[in-house]
Amino acid sequence: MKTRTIESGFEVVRILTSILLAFGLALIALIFVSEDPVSAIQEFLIGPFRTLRRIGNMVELAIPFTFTGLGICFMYSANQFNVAGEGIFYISGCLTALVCLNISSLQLPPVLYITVLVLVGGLIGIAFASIPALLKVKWGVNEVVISIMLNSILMYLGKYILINFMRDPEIAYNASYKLPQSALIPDMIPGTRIHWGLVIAIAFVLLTALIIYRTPLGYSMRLVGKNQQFARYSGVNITFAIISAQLLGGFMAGVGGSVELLGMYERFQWTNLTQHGFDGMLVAILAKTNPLLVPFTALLLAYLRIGADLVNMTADIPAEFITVIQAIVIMLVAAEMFLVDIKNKIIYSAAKRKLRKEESE
Amino acid sequence: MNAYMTLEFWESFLYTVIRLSTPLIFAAMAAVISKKAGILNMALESMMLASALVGVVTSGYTDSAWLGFLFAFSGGLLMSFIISYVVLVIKADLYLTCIAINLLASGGTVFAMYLICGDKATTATAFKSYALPKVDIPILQDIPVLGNILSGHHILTYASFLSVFLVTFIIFKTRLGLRIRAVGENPQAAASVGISVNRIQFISFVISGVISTFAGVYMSMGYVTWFSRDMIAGRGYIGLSAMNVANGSPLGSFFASIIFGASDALANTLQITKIPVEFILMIPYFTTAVVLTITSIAKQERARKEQQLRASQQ
Repeated sequence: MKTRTIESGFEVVRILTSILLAFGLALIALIFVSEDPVSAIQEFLIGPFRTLRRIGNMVELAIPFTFTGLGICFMYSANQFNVAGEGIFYISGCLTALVCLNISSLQLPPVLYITVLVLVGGLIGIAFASIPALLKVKWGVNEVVISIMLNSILMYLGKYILINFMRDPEIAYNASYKLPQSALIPDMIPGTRIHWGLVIAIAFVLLTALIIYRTPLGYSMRLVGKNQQFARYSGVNITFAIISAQLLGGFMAGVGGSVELLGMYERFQWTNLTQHGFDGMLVAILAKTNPLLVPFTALLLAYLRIGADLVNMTADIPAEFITVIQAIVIMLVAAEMFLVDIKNKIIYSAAKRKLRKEESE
Repeated sequence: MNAYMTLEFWESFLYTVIRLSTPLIFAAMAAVISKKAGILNMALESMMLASALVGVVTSGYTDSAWLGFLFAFSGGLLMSFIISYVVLVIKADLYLTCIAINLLASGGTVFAMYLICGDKATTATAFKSYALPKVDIPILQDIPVLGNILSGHHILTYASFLSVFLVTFIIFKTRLGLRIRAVGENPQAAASVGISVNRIQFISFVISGVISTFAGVYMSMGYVTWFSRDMIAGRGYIGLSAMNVANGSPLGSFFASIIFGASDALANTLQITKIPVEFILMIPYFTTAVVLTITSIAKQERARKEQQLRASQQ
């Protein structure tokens, strides 16, 4: 076996091990916490597949994960840790609703209406992602801290806009006026709430893959991400690559917020950050920032989430344990040295075998 | 506006500034220790959250605030151990690990809280918990104005002042501090003279975890007397920014923390005005972002000038 084959094969094994380990931890948590562990585990593992509706739920949930995951793919391909996607997803949903309500008098045909709104979401994403991006390249301000602060600011901004500019006073809780029917993304598969956002998501998956793997921009982003020094000496415009990665990442999160709002809701009613930005992190890291794998890892996360929700409902175990599992998987997959001993042993013994074979010939 | 001009107003405002600066000072000191060892510790948030929860819960079970305080260290240290293992042993990216650990603490504390008291939002309703005492400083408390501002604070507030001196002492006057600085400034050089970089960075994470525990306990057993979900609300990051603004100097970080605490106090005070509450609540985050940006600009300007100077000398 060639070293390279071993290494790429090993990468798969490593990710699978991390996931299995996480599942193991989840099961252990369930066994300890639940009064009836057998049915809790059953519900967690098989529950999401029991009805068509639940399978639908998984796909619906995977759509926003895909968008925020794609956003992080851009960020991480250039090794940027802008986590503003969290706030962007939220504010984009909010401003999409605001724009949607304000242009409803134009009576746009549905396809055009939705397209405009989704693009608005994307532009909002670009606008807000540009803050940490520009501060970083211009003055070297740490993008993690700025984007975390930005998330809190955007949350309060969104709440303010919701309460003061579009709150429906006839509703008991904080929610906007009803969005016009023609702006909502229609359902695609009867019996579920899976909407045409799925197609939009897949289109963006392909587009992202195209940009990252088949354009000069994508190449320079990846080069900057792998080795900034080398990129500089090769004449890559590092500033441009870093900014593009963060703006495209913001765009994806923004589109995700719009699509989620128009696909799943009739009013804007998010009163807190939605966690989708951080979920995207797990999705992208599990996919090793390969956009083509993102929908699958998004589905995996959605499966975990739905399972956790079911356990939460039936066995009274808080769904938050999934967040813990998520964090553990992120760390294990990101760890360079995790299981590296085993890999080295395999490479070593393969080399030894080859040597022996050559000697005997 | 007259209400803002009275002496009582300023006394209580400055008292609030100190009250709100306390967790930031601890967080900044924890960040300083890590920074000197060459690590930008963005996981302070998780250390504070974990210790805040452990403190409240154990104080409730043992009926003793001090025992709760003691047990709280296990929360902060647990996070230190996890991050050390992941970053130093299995070598995951530091930034990513910190973000992930904060996620872990955020979900983990809610999970644990629910199991313990059946509530996902706060321990206040289900749980009797205790606060560490407030302290009146003799003599100082009798001085007019100054006494009202500086005396009668939570005991950990005074500990936070002490921590500034302690951290300065550790970094600049001890063998360990020398090693920490050596590792932070040039790990290769430090390793070449036989200092174990991993060991020193591990120790710095542990000290960071211990200091963060003070911050966490202050939040849940002083500032308020319960634990609520995500109650740290970015204070770890704000403390980290205070350290960053002051370029890692303990005393400078202390003053930066006070400035951030003042912006927090301003937000508290402005809530009685007509300014929308959402904008007021943004103030601490906004201030942090702006101050961090301004100091980064200043730092870059200074570096550029130095470079020019060096170039002109040659």
